[in-house]
This record gives sequence, structure tokens and C-alpha cells, in this order.
Amino acid sequence: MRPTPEQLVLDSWPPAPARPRRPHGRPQAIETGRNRLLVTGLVFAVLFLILAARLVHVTLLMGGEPSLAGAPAAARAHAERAEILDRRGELLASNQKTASLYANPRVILAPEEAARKLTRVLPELSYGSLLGKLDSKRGFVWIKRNLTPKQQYAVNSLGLPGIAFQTERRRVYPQGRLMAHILGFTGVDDRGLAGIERYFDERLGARRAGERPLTLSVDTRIQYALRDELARAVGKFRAKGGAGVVLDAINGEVLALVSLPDFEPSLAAAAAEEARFNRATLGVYELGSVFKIFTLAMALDGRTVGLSDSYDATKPIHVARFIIRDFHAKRRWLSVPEIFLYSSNIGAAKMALDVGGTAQRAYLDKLGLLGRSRIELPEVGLPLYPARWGKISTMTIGFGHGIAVSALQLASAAAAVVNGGVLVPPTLIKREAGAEVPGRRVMSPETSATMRRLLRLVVQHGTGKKASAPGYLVGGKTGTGEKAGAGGYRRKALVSSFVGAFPMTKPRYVVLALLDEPVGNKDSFGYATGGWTAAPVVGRVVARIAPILGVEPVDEAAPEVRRAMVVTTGGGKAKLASF
Amino acid sequence: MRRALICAALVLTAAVAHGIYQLKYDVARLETELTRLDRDLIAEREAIGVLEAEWSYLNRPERLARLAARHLDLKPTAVHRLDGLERLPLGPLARRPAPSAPPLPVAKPPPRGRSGGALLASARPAL
Repeated sequence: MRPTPEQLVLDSWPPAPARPRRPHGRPQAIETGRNRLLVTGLVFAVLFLILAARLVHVTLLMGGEPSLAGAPAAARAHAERAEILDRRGELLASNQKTASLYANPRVILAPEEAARKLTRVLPELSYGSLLGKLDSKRGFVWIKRNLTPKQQYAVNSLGLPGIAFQTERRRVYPQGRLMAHILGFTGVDDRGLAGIERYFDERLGARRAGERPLTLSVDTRIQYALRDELARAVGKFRAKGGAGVVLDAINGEVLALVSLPDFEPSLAAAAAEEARFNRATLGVYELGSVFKIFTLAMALDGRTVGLSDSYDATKPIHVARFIIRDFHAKRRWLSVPEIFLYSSNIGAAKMALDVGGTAQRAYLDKLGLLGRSRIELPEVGLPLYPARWGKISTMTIGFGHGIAVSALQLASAAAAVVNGGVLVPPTLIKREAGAEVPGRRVMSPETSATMRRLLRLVVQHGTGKKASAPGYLVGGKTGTGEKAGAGGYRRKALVSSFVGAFPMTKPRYVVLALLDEPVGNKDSFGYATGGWTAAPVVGRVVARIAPILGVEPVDEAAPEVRRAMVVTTGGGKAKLASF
Repeated sequence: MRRALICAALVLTAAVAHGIYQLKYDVARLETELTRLDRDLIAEREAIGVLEAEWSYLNRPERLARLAARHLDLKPTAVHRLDGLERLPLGPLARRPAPSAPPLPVAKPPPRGRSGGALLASARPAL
């Protein structure tokens, strides 16, 4: 039987209790959407809150300076070779940005016009070769490298197509040839090839930020005065070359170092071998009579002789195949001061014999004359002296033959003789003010004082009269060495020198001048000796540099000065240099 | 109420977004400025280097000597033109001391007939 509507209703009675039920269909979709929106909105809200908090933090709360992200390092694209300065801060060497001019000939439409315009602006270029370059089919050709800023501007103003600049760096020496032998020069890859540039190559080329410049002890003004006077003498006496040194006698600083002929550092590669040779440090010469300074010093210091002793200089010495004779021989007995004053070879040889070869050699070694100088240059010569130091060598070395040393070495040893007896190694680097000066005592202060007076005597009354600079109490010694040739000495090839110091009451500076093969002229009565050629150079240099160096002139005839310079020859009788 | 909140949130979002973008562009602008300044700094340093080299070149002693000879009437300092301050005679000042003060020590004026330089004036002939 089919259920009746009443039964159907009764079957489903009572109705199930109402249960919360998920809406489905459209109401459910809206609900899901709203929930998802809420969640997303919350996530974004949180993110933005973080952002807002960071914003506030950065702008308001963090008041300090922001840290720079490596900006200073970017300011210097690459570390450059350090500058070199003189003792007063004058620039001697620096790196400059230069523009090198090149062309792309394929792009140049009118080579003749371009070549014409370029040669007008850069006159050192040849029109023919330039035209050849610009007319070619090549893609790249150098026109001229390392232009100055002025040249670059001029070329740029031409407005030529097809040419452009490439930046290069170049080592520039503003002082030119004045400092040529001291500074040396660099090669293509900025590496030092000679001089200070080579000796301090590592220190200068250090690839670290903020490399400090290298300060030398050299003074440009003194260097110029020395070079000027030396060049004048080289020209006047038609010498092959010359060398000059100005040393600080107390601390060994080299104030000037000149070698002639010299060269232009920027054109060093094209310079002659002769010009690049450093006659002041690399060249070793038999300097002759200047060595008598050391013979006297060692004889007096070792008390072998006293000032009142004398030697027989009446006849030349004959030994083996040599004859030792005096120049302008006095042909009489000479006292020790007279031997120095008149530069007697005979007297010096006999004095050296009295000292003895062993002691002589040891003394010269002490003075640094037998070893290489420790100056900060790669071009330093090794002294030459006999392997067997016999009697003959002792005699000849007594008056400076048979031993070859460099000019700088001699100046340094002379400084030790005049400064009180302390040998200070010469240096090209400026010493710190107040720094301890390295030195070794080589003779007694009394010997040094006596030598000072003797040296003053030579300039007042002896062979060094032409080195006198009134007011500055110059003292020194002349030297004329004969250059050795094949089979003996060449009589006419001389190395004339003079080493002096001033002011002799308390020497502060040593000045040395050397001329290589000077030739006597009318003014020098045909003489090419040290007294005629090198001594005037020293005298003129002292007169020029003393005011610069702040050396006060004194009245040379004042009693106290003359008393300070008197040479006592024993027996209580003071001889005021009037022999 | 809810509408107001939503509105406020939207406004805040817009403001913050604007602020952030402003900041971002400001930073970018400052960075460009920094790079430009760095480049200028390098260029200026180069220029200084060139000028220093040029200055040294123009100060070559031989050039200065040449110019001085041509344009100036100066000569190298001769030694007889140098002297110490203490050697200067008081001259007229010595002859008229202040009335209230004790008389000043009088320095002898230089004798007439001598040439200017005081230094070598007392030179005697060599022995």
C-alpha cells in the first residue's frame, strides 16, 4: 500500500534538531572569499608595518652618519708611483696623466688636410711621415704619445675626425737635467732604471693608498750653483767632464751631487753612454795630492810625526823604475806644514814610509776609502788599490797615486777629517730633525783641529789660493792626478780636483770639484792643475751658497780669527802662517 | 565604522608607499651625486698634480736666474754687503741720549774716507 501524505509526514516526525551547517553554493563562496581576503590583508598589514617601522627607524631614530661604502677607495683608481721631493719640498719627480694621440686612418677622409693641421699644432712631427700614416689602410696608428695638456687642447680644437686620445701616465721630471744623475729615470712600465728611481724602486712603486713622497737631502738651489760653476769650468778648460759634491760635514747629507756631462731624464734612452756615467759616484780616479790630507792625518794622529818635524825634499826619490819628484820643487828641507802647503810628493812619500804600509792601509780603510760607498744609488764604483801593498805602493799612495777612489768617497773622508774626526756615511735622504746621526770616530779631535788649520793654510798661502771666498774661511787641498794609460801615466791627461770645507773655524760643509782632463788656457798660463782649474770652482760655489746656507761671513783678518787658525810648529813659537 | 577604517588604511598605505618611493629616488639621486663628486675629486687632484709639476718647472733655478738677469736689477749678494746688526754704529742716536735716562754708551762713528763695507775694512796687508 502506498504511504499516505499523512504517513509521510508522520514518518519524518519529529524533524531532526537544527544543526549549524556550512553554507554551500553562492553564500559559501562569498564566505571563503572574505576569509581569504582577510588573511591576505593581515599579511600585507604586517609587512607594511615592518616597512613602516624600518622607515621610522632609518629616518628618525638612527641619527648618526651613514657609513660610506668604499667611496674613498674608489677615488683613487690605482696607486701611483710616489713623488720625489728635494729637502725643501720642491717637486723633483711625479706622475702625470698624459694624452697620447692616435688615429683611425680608415675614418679620415682628407689625410692631407689633417696632416697639415696637425703639423701646424705639433711642429715636431714630420709632414711626410704623418701623411703616410694617415693615408694608410690601417685601423690604428700612433701619432704622438704623451702630449702636454696645452698640446692636447690645441689638437682637440682642430676638430678633426678620426683622431682620438688615449690616457697614459708618465713620469715627469720638472727640474730637467739638473737632477739627472741623482734621480735617474724610469722605463716604460714605470720601473726605475737608474739613480734614486732604481734604488728605491720598491718604496716608490708601493701599491698602497696614500704613499708618502720621498724627501731627498738635496737642495735644488745648491745643486744649481754647483752645476753652473762646474759647467763653466768644464767649458773654460775644455774638459771631458766634471764632478761636484756638496756635503754637510756634520750629518753626511748630500746637498748637491753633479756629474757632467749630464742628460735630459725624459730622453734618457737616447742619451749617450758618456752622459749617463756618474763621474761623482761611479767613476774612480787617482786623485793625486788630495790624498796628502790623509797621509798627514794618519801621521799626526798616530804621532809618527809632529808639526815641527821636517823631511829632506832636496832631491827626487828614485825607486825601481819610478822617479818621485815635486811639482815646483823647493829643493830644500820642508817642515810638515810646508809639505802640505807646497804639496810636496817627496815629503809625502817619505812620511807615508814612516807611517808604514800596514798602518796606512788600515787608516784608509777606516776612512772608507777602500770599500764601496754606501750612498743610496746603484751607480757606485769600487775603489782600486794594489793587491800587494809594498813599499812603492805605500810611497805613491802617500801622494795619491796607485789608488783610485770616487769623488763622493773623498768628500766623505775629508768631512771626517774636518768635522772633529767622525766618519758619517753620506746619504741622499733627508735626515729627520734631531735624529741620531750614525758615525764612527776615526781620528782624535786634536788631529782634526790641526788638519783644519793646515787646510786653511793651503788656501791662504799654498796651492789653493784660488779657492778663497773672502769672509767664509775656506780651507782645502788641491789634487792633480795623472790618468793611467797603457804603459804608464799620461802626462797630459789629468784629473784635477779640489776638496774644501768652510768655515774652517767650525766646518759645516764640504765642497768638492773635479775636472776630467782639463786643458790649460791663456788665463791659467797653460796650467791645468787642481789649483788653477778646480779650486776656483770651489771658491765661487762657496761664495754663492754660503748666504743660502746661512753661513755668516767673518772678518778673516780679525785677530781672534787669525788666532784660531794659527799653526804652531812646536818650540812654543807660533808661526802665523808666514813661512 | 569599518568603512572609515578601510578608508584610513588605504590613505595610510598610499602615504607610506609615496614616502618609500620618495626615499628610494632620493637615495638614487644622492648616489649619483656622490659618484659625480668622486669623479670631480679625481679630476681636481689630477689638476693639482699638473699645477704642482708646472710650478716646479717654472721655478727651475736656471729659469729664475735668466728672468732675474733680464728683468731685475739685482746681483748676487757680495760678501762685503753682509754684516751683523751689532756692528752698526749708533750714529746720531748716540749723540742725543734721553735727558732723564743715563747716557747711552757711545759707539765711535766710522772714520771718514772708508768705503761702505765694514767687513773687510779692517783688513791689513798679509804678513
